[in-house]
Amino acid sequence: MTPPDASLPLIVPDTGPTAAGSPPATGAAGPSVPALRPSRRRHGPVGNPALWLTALPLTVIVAWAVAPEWFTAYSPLDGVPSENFQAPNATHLFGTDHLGRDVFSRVVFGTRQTLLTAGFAVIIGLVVGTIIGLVAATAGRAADATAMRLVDVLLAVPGFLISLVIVTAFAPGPVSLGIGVGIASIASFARVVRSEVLRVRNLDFVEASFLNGGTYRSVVVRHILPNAAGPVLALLAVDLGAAILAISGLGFLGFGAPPPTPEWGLLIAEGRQYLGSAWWLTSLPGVVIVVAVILLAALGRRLLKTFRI
Amino acid sequence: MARRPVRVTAMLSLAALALTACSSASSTPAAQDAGTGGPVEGGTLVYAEVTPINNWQTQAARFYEKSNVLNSVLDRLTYFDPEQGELVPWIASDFSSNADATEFTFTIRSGVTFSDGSPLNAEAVKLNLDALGLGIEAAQVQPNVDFAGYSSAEVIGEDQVKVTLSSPNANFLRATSSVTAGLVSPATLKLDAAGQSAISRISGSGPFTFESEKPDEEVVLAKRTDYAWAPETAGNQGDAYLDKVVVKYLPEVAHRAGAVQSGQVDLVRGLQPLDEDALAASGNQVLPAKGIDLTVNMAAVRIGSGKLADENVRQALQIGIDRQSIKDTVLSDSYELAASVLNHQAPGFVDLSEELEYQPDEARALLDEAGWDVGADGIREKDGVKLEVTVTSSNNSVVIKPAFELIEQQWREIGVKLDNRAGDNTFLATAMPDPNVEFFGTRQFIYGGLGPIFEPANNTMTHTSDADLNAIFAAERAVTQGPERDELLAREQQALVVDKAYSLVLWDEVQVYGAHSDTHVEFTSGTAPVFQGAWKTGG
Amino acid sequence: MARYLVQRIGQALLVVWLAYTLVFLAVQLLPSDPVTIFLTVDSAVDQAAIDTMKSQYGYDQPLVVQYLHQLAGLFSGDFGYSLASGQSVRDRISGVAGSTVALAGSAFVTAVVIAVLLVAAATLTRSGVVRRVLVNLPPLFSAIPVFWLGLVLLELLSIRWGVMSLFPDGSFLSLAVPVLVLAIIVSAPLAQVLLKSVSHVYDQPFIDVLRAKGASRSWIFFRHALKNAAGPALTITGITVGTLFAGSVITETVFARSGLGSVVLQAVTTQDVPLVQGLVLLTATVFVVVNLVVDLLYPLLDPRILKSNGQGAPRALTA
Repeated sequence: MTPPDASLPLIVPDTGPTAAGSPPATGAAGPSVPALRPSRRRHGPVGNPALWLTALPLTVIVAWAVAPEWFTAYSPLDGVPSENFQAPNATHLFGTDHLGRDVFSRVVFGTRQTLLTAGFAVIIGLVVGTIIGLVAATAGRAADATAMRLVDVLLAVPGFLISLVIVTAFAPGPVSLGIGVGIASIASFARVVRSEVLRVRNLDFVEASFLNGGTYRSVVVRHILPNAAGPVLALLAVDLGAAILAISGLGFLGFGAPPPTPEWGLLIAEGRQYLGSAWWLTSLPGVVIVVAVILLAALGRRLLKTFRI
Repeated sequence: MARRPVRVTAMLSLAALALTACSSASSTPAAQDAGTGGPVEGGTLVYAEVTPINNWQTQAARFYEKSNVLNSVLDRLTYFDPEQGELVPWIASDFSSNADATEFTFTIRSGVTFSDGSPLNAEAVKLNLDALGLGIEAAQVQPNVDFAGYSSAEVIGEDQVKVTLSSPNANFLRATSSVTAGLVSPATLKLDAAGQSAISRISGSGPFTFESEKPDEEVVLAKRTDYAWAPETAGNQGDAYLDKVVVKYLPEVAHRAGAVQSGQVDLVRGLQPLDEDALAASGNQVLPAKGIDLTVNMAAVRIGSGKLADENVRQALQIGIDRQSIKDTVLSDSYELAASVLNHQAPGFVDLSEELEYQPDEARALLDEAGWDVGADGIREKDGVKLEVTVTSSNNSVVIKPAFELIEQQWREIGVKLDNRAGDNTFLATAMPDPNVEFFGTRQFIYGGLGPIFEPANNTMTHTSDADLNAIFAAERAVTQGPERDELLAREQQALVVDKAYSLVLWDEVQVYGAHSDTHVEFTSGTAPVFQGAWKTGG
Repeated sequence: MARYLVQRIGQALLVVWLAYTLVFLAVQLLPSDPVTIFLTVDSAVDQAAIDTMKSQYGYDQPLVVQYLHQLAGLFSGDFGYSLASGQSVRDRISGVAGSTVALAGSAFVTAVVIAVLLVAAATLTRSGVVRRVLVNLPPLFSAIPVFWLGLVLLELLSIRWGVMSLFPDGSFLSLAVPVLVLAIIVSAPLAQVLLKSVSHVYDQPFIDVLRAKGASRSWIFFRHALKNAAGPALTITGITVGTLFAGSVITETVFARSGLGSVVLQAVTTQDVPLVQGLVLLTATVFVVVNLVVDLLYPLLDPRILKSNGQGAPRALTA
């Protein structure tokens, strides 16, 4: 019997200890994980068909963001008021909304805003989290204790509350939503980076490069970061999905970007008002979000497998 | 009680005026039921409000969520009867004013008690009027804005109270009919801020009293069996028919019609236009309650940012709104398009609808004339500044945000960009005191006339003090009745809507309620349900 | 051990204090203040009244003074006064916290049950298809917007089929449905970690030994694999506090339940600083206590940890 590892969802926003002195959690930092085996990486990400299977639908979504006008003939902003609340049909795949706008067009045109906002959030988490994690793992016990306390503080204050405060302070928009949601993901990036770096730095070739006269910076940049990048990249994909969801949650609570901006989270959040009588307004954009988030999570898993095994 | 069916029919015919023939389904079931039987005693009415309220301090009841509940807990000196279009006696069995509108005398009805047992006599009224007019410093309670110029009150003889104002205010009597002028027991007035904001500790003389509450979930009111002091023209002069009223909260718009249809609530406020036909078709009732005590729904204009300082620009925006399209797309037949800043039924209303017709070409010409030229992106600009304006409003109206979405499209066609922040309560909190936010989408109680909301330099509607307007307001306050007063009211409306265009008017204030087929309820001129006269067929 | 405990409690207090301070600074970013918002209720802004009230509540003091005053208040059990609700912060929060604790607590227990059942079924099934489906459920769970799921369930169960109340009326379903909605999102990370660590356990030689001895599949799973895999899942319990909190805010809003959700929204909307601070104090405390308990429990589940303790703390990279 084989354990169910076929498509193990490895991405969980945590692998580090919750506080100094606590045990290392599962994952790379634990002693049971097999060390990096470069010999098994000969296919690389490019030769992996499963990766392409999840990546292809995502490229369609990216294409929506890049050139939305290729995918729909309708304006996302101007509707025909007399044609409002039409159920999905041949001309309007996703139906029309309360102002007679084509919902599919709003989804397609909303992709860019959605990916930019969520992407910005993830970049913030990535950059700040990487710095904290790197410092924690490489700059000594005192730095580790300090950095991990900082991560604890970020986890102790609900990210959600911070998002609300920031969005309130700076008016909802791509930047404030991105910062608000991004702060919440700093902690998970910091933890993953920390544990990955801890794993990588103990590998023979890293020790060897030190012996060969490498400086702190050159070793970190040339050896540690590239080798720790796999899981971080994987977390990036998953976190992008989580950020899209978090932004939609804020939209639901009334902290979304102002109309007429089409944005996925806002579409389902605002369409919910008509759930009883015009189900498609919230449901169809909702399906798009669910599919996109699942694809991103799958991409994360594929990436992880490609880099690890 | 015999008057009841007549009143219901009258109420419905009033509503029917606003309805076109095709949608009269909404009012039929109530009319049939009203014809077949009289009020039924007993039962509990479940009423769903929009959002929970934590602070029940009575003078701050300028929200529907508060006033709709407190209306049944607190009595007032006077009552505005929508049918007669005038004030009728309530706790004041008689009231009068001097010719200058600076002195008002109220004769207090005898035998009225607060729910804590203390008598509602002239002394209690004086204490209440002082609290309303001067505030309660110890409890951080601010004066009631409609009590402008209040100076003092004194008890005369056994049962009379005389109020003296420092300046004329012909609207003072009307202000005493507002829920925000609800009378509370002297003991309640002595409570600290926390005490005055807890509904469990507020003691009024109304037909219902507080029974229990679950914070943020429900408030239960029980009837006072000894209640016998309803407004003079009320159909029910005795205690309420209902035993209890349970107030719950239904923030999700999508569930409101369904809540009535599935029988989970008897009455719900804030029905959205899309759900009206379905609710009526299921045999239940759609009840539009006209807000005669309020202004129409409008975008009040602030000129702080300078972009709308030129009245030509404001006038262009006024006629750049296609009101009929708003009604056809995001409203329903329960809504009547505005023809002034006052509702059609309000005393002194003048019809300015000819000035409000949609004229996009004329709007463009006015903007050109004002020096705002169309830029490369289609948005007008002048001296490097884009004609980009922002609107704020609360999320409590179900139709205001979609309406501004449509206006955004309409204004884009005349080269004006609207940043639609309607329905964003968080933004509203900071935008209301900010004169640089160009529009405040709202409707306001006008128990003190239009003056208090447009006059002060720091008023939240326009954030500006206009000397011409204020002269008219002052003159209007000094005239109590007659053609001269009507003339002044007409000038106020003409100035606000047409000449100065500080108020981009949209539709008459109306609150659309959904009611179960068994429910019989009427509404005050402030759109509050009158639970004292309500009953359920099923009991 | 005693020294370790003291050290951990010290760290916990430090984290709470830092969180409190950080949020105190963050709320200063807010563009207005509770007094102005409270007094600008659909009427004219009376600057004199605002100033008077600000000084009554101490909002006119320098920031440092306000901060120290608040901090001093904490030690005497005074968490400040919430202007918007007209109650003390302690009354406002304690009045509704029970409802959130019931919701979040039940949801957490349900999430653990869902995660364990899901992992058990995925591990024990002999069908590859079933396993694939089960293994892919957690990613689906974490991809559904919570509010959307809640609203759809309400629409179907309450309005279309009439089996549950739209309001929290104390009936079984009116608690069970929100609990389930919240549990589904919380169960996703738990199930994912559990799946992963179970698979690690199955890689260990002792499983082969057990199998060779003829132990049944379910015996091996529940008596050995699950027990050995529980540790890693336990460590992410601390993280779920934040998810539970955010999920509770949304779930409570959808199901019109009273609780911290409405307090949070009210506190932020009215920029009610003392209320925001009170909430942070509460959530930070819950977070550190949960993590403390987890850290203390962990060695009991996996004695190897104590031996390897110290490996987790890194030395500096350069010599």
